[in-house]
Amino acid sequence: MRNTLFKATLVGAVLAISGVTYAGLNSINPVEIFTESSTGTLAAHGSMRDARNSPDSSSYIGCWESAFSGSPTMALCVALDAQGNFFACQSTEPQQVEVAASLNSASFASFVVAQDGVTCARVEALQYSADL
Amino acid sequence: MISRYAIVCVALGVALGAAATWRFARPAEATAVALRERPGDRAAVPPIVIERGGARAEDIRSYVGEEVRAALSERAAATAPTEAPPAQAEAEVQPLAPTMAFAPAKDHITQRIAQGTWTTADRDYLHGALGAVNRTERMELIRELLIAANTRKIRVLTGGPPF
Repeated sequence: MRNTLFKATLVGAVLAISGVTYAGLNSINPVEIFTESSTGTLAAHGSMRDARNSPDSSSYIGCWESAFSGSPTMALCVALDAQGNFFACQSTEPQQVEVAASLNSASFASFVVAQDGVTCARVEALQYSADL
Repeated sequence: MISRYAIVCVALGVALGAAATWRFARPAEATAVALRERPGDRAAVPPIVIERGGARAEDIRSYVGEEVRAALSERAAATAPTEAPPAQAEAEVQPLAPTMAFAPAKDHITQRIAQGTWTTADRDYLHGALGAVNRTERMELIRELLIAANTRKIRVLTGGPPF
């Protein structure tokens, strides 16, 4: 009797503990392409995780670095949202190329195109636990 | 019997010596740990003041300041951007010779913009063409395509970079 009671208590305690889950802050950042209100230029942002896990099969965001002979390294940052809207900007500024190259699977990426519609005015890579 | 007694005495002496060494070494070590773990204590250490015939604090400050200024000016002179070699500067000013690959690539982009879609085949074509044109032409091709893509004149269906 005592043995059964002990086992029941143990099972109950294990169930009680396993029911509590602490995960920390989790932000949901799917790919969004929009016009920045302050500049009127096109922008895109989103986390790598939520782009990859998007319920649609088209969303993506990221940057590519290319090095052509005789030219500075170029970063091309692109994004496509769930509605099929496309965004791209390119940069040969070393600091922006460096930031673009720092993107990883846990990053939140953010790009803004300059007034010329081609070059990146801003490239951001946030490494943030909520985007893991 | 005597030898056994001697061995015991030697062992006892060794033990006492080790204990004494440990006893006198421990306080110093403990103090070091205490200083590491209590940074506030370090702030309480009085500043070193040189007096009695040594250099005065103002003299030291002045001397250090001069040395730092001299080192900074030397470093600035060493790291100042040098003028580009004439050949490089000339190359940057002179327009690059047009390439054979540019016109077809530009036509291709124009045609696709008119058509309204940019596929993986277009991406592969342009990817190759960008390596065959000069840097001015490359930027022009990229500019034309990206502006069209960002303004929705062309739908990018590459599932990634358009070139």
